Amino acid sequence: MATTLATKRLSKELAKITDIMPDGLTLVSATDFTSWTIDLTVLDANPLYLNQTFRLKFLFSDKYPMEPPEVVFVSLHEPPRPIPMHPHIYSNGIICLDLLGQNGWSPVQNVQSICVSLQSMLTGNSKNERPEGDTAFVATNRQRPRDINFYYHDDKV
Amino acid sequence: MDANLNTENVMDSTDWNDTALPAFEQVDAALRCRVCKDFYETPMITSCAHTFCSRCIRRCLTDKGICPVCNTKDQEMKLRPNLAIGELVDAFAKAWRSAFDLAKSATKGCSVASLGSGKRKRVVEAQTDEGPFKKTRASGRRTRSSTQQSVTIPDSDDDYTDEEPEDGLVSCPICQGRMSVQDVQKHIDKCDGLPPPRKKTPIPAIQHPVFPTRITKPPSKLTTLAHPHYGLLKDGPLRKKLTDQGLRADGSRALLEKRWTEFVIAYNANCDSIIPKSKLELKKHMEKWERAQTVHDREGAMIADKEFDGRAWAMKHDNGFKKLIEDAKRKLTAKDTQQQAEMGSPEQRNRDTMFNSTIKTTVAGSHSQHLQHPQSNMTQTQTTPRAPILKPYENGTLPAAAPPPNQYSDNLFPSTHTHSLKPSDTSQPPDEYDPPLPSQLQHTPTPTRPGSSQQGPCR
Repeated sequence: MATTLATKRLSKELAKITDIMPDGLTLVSATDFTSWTIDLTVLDANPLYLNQTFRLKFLFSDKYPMEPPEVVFVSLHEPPRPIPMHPHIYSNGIICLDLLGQNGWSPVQNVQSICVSLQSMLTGNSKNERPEGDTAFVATNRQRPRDINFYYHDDKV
Repeated sequence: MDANLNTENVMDSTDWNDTALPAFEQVDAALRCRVCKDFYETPMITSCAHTFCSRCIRRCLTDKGICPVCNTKDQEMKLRPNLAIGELVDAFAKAWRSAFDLAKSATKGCSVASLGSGKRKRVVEAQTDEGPFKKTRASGRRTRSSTQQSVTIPDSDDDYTDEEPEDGLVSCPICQGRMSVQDVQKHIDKCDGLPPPRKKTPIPAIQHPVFPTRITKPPSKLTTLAHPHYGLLKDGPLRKKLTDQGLRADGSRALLEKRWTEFVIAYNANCDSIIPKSKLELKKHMEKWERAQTVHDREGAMIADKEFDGRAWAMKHDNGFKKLIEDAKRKLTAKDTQQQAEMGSPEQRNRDTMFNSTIKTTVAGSHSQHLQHPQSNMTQTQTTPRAPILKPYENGTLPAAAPPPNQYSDNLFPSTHTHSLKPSDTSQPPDEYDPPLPSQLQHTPTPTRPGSSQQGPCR
C-alpha cells in the first residue's frame, strides 16, 4: 500500500508512544494502522474510578488526521475492563466528547492528546451516572460513533 | 508488544531521548509540522501565525477552513511562506544524521567533550554563553552532566586569558599574537596592534552555515490554481481539466473531484516551494495517490459523502433491498419464460449479455446506461453520485442478495447495481463539500444526518 498521510503520521505517533507513554496509559496493541487499543487509568484518587483500568479502542480511517479516529471504551471480562461511569459515556462505550466529533476535531490532536483529554474528563467527574436516555440509545443505536450527532452542551468537562 | 508494528525505522523527535543530547528532542519537535509530524516541507505561516507544511495546511483549509491549532478561520490565499523556518529545517535536516549518530554513540551522561568533537564543544559553550533562550533549551542537560559545564573552547572570541598556553611561544605585548621568541623583536617593530589572523579556521558549525545559500529571492511566482465550485462544474469540464493536466479522468464523479482537489493541493504546495518540483514529480505524486485510492476504493470510497455509513445504510434498507431484488428476479424469470417460449436456450444468452453489460458499466464508471434493468428509477443514479455503490455488501450484510463483483458471471442478476434500487432514492445534487451542520439534539443521537436528511443511513 502506498504510504499515505495516515500511515506516515500514525507510524510517527506510534514511534513516539512506544518510546514514552504518559502516566496512566499503556499501549495494548497496535498491529496495524487501522485499530489500536490502549489501557487507561485515572491518575488521581477519584473514588469512582479507583483501582480500575479502562480499555480504549481507536479506529483510524485513511483520512486520519484530517478526520478524527473513532474512539470507544470497550468492556472485557478478563482482564476486567469496565466502561467508566460518566455522564458523557454511554454504557456501550460510546463517548460524547466534542474533540472526537467532526467539528471539534483538529489534525493537530493525536492519540496521546485524546487519551489525556479522556483521562482529565474522568478525573474531573464526580457524578456516578450515565447520560440521559442511555438505555434507549444503547438499545437502538446502530450507527457508528462518528455518524452520531451529539449536542455538546456541557463545556465544564 | 511483540505483535505491534515495528517502528524502529521511523524517525521521531523522541529518538533524541536515548542519546547524549536529550534536549535536542525539543529542537527536533519544534521543526516538525504538527499535522504530518514530519519536518516542515515548504513551511507556510497562517494569518494566526501558525506554521505548517504547505500541503498539510492547504489540505486542512480545503477541508474545514480553520487553522488546526487554534481553530481560527483562514483562507489559502492568506498563507505566506515562512522562509526562515524553511532554511532552518534544511540546515537541521542536513546536520541531523551526523549530529544524531554522534549523540547516539555517546552514552548518556558521558561528557560530550571527551568525544573530541570541536563542533560539539562549540555548541555547548555557545549555549552557556548566550541569552536565556538557549539556556532554557540546554539547561536540562547541563544540570545532569556537570562535566559539560567545564568544557572550554580554545577559539571562541572571548576566551583570552592571562594564562600562557604551553606551546613554547611568546605573545606580542601589543597585539597578543603568538610567535617564537626570535620573531618577537622583529614583529614589534612593525606591529600595528591588530590581532593577527587566526591560524585555526573557525569551526563551520558556528559560522552561518547557510549564508551562501540564504534565500534572497521570493518564492516562485507560479500562479496557484483555485478550487472549483464542484456544484457548478459538470462531469465533462471536470474530466477535461484532469486530462489537460495529464491526469486520469476515469472513475466515479466523487473520485474525479477527490483527484482534482488532491491535484490542486499538490500543485499549489509546489507553487509555494522555493525550488518547485517538475511536472513529472507532481505526476508521480498523483500516481502514488491513485495507488492509495485503489485500496481505499475497495473499502467503499466511491461513496461521495465522507460521513456515509454503509453498514448502517445496508441494515436500514435490508428489507427494501431484498424486496427489490426479489422483484427483479421475478420479472427476469417472467421474461426468461417468455423468451423461452419464443426461442431455444435464452438463459445462456441472457447471462452473457448481462455479464458483458455489467463489466462494461463497471469499467465505464457510469452505473446504469447499459443495463436493461426492470427498475425504472435506475436512471437516477447518474444524477446521484453519492449513491452507496459497493458498500452494502462489502460488510456482508446482504450476502445472499449481493455477491462480490467477481461472481458476476455466476449470477444472473446485476447485483452490482442494487445501490440504484435504494428505496428512497432522491435526486439530490452533490453537496458533499458542504460542512455538516451542528446538530441540535441534546445528547441524543439524531435520527437523521445533517445535509442529507432523506438519505440518512441510521434508523
